[in-house]
Amino acid sequence: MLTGKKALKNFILWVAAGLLLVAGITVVFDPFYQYHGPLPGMKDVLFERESQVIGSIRHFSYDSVLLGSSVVENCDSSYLDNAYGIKTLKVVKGSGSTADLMYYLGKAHEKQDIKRVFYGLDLFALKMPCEVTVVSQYSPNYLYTETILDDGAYLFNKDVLLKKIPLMLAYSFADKNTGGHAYDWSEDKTFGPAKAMEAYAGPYVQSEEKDFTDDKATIAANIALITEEIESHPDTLYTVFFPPYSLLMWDDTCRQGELSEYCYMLDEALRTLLSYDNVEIYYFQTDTDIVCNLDLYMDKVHYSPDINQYMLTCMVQGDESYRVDKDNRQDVVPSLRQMCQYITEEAIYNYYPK
Amino acid sequence: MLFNSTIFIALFLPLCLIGWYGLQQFKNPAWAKLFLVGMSLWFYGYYNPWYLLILVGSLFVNQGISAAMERLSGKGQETSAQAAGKVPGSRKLLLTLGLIANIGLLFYFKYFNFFVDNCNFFFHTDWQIEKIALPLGISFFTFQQISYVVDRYKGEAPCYSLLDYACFVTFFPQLIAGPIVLHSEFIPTLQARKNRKPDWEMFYDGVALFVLGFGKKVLLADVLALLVNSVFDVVGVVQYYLDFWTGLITILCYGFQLYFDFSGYCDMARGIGRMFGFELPVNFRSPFKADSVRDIWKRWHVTLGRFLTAYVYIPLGGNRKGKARKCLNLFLVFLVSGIWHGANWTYILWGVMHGVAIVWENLFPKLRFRSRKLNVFFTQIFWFLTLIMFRSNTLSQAGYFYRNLFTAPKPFLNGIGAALQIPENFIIIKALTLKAPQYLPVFYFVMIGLMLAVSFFFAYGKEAGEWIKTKARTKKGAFLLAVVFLWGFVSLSQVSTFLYFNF
Repeated sequence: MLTGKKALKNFILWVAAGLLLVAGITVVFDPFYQYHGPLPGMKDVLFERESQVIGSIRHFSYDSVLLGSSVVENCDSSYLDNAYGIKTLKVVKGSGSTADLMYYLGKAHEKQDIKRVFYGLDLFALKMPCEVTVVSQYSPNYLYTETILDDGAYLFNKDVLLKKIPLMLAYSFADKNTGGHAYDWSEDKTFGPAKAMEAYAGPYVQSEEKDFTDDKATIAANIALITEEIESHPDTLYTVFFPPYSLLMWDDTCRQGELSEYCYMLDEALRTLLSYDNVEIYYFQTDTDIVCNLDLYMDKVHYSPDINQYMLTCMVQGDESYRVDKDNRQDVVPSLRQMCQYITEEAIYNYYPK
Repeated sequence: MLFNSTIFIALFLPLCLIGWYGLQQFKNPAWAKLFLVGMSLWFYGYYNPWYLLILVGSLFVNQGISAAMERLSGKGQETSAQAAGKVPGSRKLLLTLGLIANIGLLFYFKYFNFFVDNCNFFFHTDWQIEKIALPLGISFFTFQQISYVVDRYKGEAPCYSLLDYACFVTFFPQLIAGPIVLHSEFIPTLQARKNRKPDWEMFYDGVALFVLGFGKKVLLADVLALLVNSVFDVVGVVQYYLDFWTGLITILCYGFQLYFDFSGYCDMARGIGRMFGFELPVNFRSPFKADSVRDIWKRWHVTLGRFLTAYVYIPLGGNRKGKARKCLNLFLVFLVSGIWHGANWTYILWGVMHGVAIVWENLFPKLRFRSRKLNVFFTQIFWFLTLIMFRSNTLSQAGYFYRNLFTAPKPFLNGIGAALQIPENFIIIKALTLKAPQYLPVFYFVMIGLMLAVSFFFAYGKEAGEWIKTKARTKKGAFLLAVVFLWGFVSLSQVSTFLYFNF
C-alpha cells in the first residue's frame, strides 16, 4: 500500500503521461490540419468541411481556390490543376452564405498568393445575412484561432482520436476524398426522378409575387462583400459560375412568388461583377437539357458529379454558349424567365400529374 | 458548471483547491471561507447568473429566521418557555414563516406551471402564465435549509455565523444534485482547525472517488443514455412498435443509467468534498442488492430518505400512532418523494407505486420468499417496472410502454442497438458497413449484451468506497484510476448534463 501522497503522485504522473500521449497523437496526425499539412507519405484527405476547411486554408500549399457550397463539392479540382497548371484548394461551406465564403477567401488570400478563384455563386446566398457565422456559431473556437491555448477540446478529444484519425488514415490509403475529390459526397448517392421528387411536393400551390424591397439592402451588401474581395486582389482572376438547379427548384421558386427576386439578384450580380476586368462569368442555369432532366438530380439543387465535370470542362474550354459578358448580359434574365415559364407550364408535368 | 466539463476539471477545481488551502494559511479562516463561497457562487451561476439571486435570497431569508430565533432566545423568552415544556408562539411563527418561504419558493419555481396547467384542465379555467424556468438544484438547497430551520426551532442547531452558513448552503460539490447534507455534518468540520491543511490520505481517496464517479457518469451512464433516449424520444410520440425485448432492454438500461448517473454524481461530490477535507454522507449503498422496497430506500438516495423520515414521517406521527396511521404516514412520505422528484403526474404516480408497495410490506411482512435471492429478484422487477413511470414524459407514454411490454412479445428489437454509436466502436461499425453489412445487427446485439454485462458487473459488484479502501492506494490502482480519468476526460467533447439536476 502506498501513502496517499505517493499514490497521488503516481496518479498525476500517469495522467500527465496519458495526456501527453493523447495530445501527441492528435498533433502528429492532425486530422483538422490545425498545425500542419498532410504528413509525408500521407495524402491530403478532406472529408469534413466544417472542421477541415480553415485548417487546410492555413496549412496547405495552393495557389488557386475553388469556392462554393455543396453543389461544387463534387467538382474534381485536379482537372483545373491540369488544365491551367495551378494547385487548387477546395473551400466549401454547406448552404454557404456569401459572408462565410468571403471570410474563407480572405483567409486564403492572407496565407497564399492566389492566382485564380473559381467561385460557384448560389443566388440564394445573396439574400442571406451578411454576418460571418462560421467563427461564432457552427464550429468550435479552436478551429479559428491560431493559438494552441484553446485547443484542449481538439487535443483531448475521443472523437478525434477514435473516429477522425482512423478515418483520415483509411481514406488516405483508400485514396478517398483526396486531391481533387476533396469533400466529394457523391459516393453511394442515388440520382434520379424518384429520389429528387422526394424533395418537392409538386406544382400545387401558387403564391403572389413577393415584394422583396426589404431584401435589396442585404443583396447589395452581399454583392459588396464579393466586390471588396475582387477589388482588393486585382491580380487574381475570378471565374464566377452559376450552377444549374433543377426544374423542381425553379418551379418552387416561381410558385412561391420569388422569381422576380431571383431575377433581380442575378441581374445585380452580373451587372456588378462584369464591371471588373479580372472577372469572367459562366452561366449554366438556363441549360434546359440539364435543368429539366431529373435523372441528373438527387433533390431540388444537388446534381450528379457528371454535371460538375461538365461545368469545369466548359469553363476550361471557354465555351461561349455559357459565357456571359457585357454584350450578352441583357439576355440572361429574359432567358431565365422564359425557361421558368416553360418549366411551370410544361416541363414540370413530365414528372407530376396536372 | 458541470463536474464533467473541461473547465471544471482543468481550471475550476485546481484553482479552488489551491485557493482554499492557500488562504487557510492566514490566521483568520474567514478569507478561505469567503473564497469558497465566491467560487461556489461562480460554479452555480456559471450558466445563468440570475439563479444566484434565488440562491442568495433563500440563504439570507433562512439565516435571517435563524438569527431572529437566536434573538428570541437571547431575550430569555425561549429558556423560560422551554423550561415550562412549551415553545413560545413567536418562535413557532418564525418556523411557520421559514417553512412558507422555503416551500413557497419551491412551489413557485417547480410546481406553479404544473398547478396552473392542472387547474385549467380540471376546472376548465384559462389561466395563462409564462413558463417558469426551474433553477438548478432548487429542491436540494431548499430541503437542506428546511432541515436547518426546523432544527433551529427544535433547539437542535446553533445559530451559525452568516459566513459559515453560506459555506454550508453554497458548498458547490453538493449544491446542485445532492447529497442532501445536514448542517451538523458540514459546519463542525468547517470550523475545526485540523482541516486547515490537506490530509493527503483523505485527499487521495477523494481523487479516487471523484474519478470513479466520473467514469460511472461519462463512460457508462452517457452511453446507456444513447439507447434509452432513442426509445423514449419516440415511444408514444411517433408511430413506433415497442416489443417486449426492446422494452425490457430499454428499461434495464435506464435503471442502470439512472444509477450510474446519480451515484456517479454523488461519488464525484463526495470525492471533491474529501479533497476539501469534508466527509459528505453516502447516498447509495448497492441499491440493486435490495431485497424489499423498504430496503431499496435504505440504499437509494439515502439522504433524501433520511430527510423525509426526519422532517415528514416523524412529525406526522411516525409509527407512534398505531398501524393504520403508520401506513398512512409511510404512504404520504412516498407521495411527497414523488412530488419532490418533479412536477409531473408520472413522478407522483411513481411515488404512489412505492407508497403502496411500502404499505403492503408493512401490512404483510411475512409474505416473502425464504430465499433472499428471490426477494432481491422480485424487488428489482418492481423497481425496474416503476422506473418506466419515472422515465416516461407523459402518462400516456408510460401507459403505452406498460401495455406493449406485456402484450407485444414479438422479438422485433426495433434496431435500438444502432443507437449505440460511440467512438469506441466506430471503426468496427464502419468496417462492417463497408464489408459485411449483414453482420451489423449481430454486432449491435453483442454491443447491447456487453453494455448490460458491464452494467451488471458494476451495479452488483463492489461499491466505489470499498474498492478505494483495498485497491486504490497501490501502483496498479493509481494506474487504473489514471486510465479511467483519461478515458473520461477525452470523452468530454460532447458534454451531457446530470439527470438529477432537474429534481
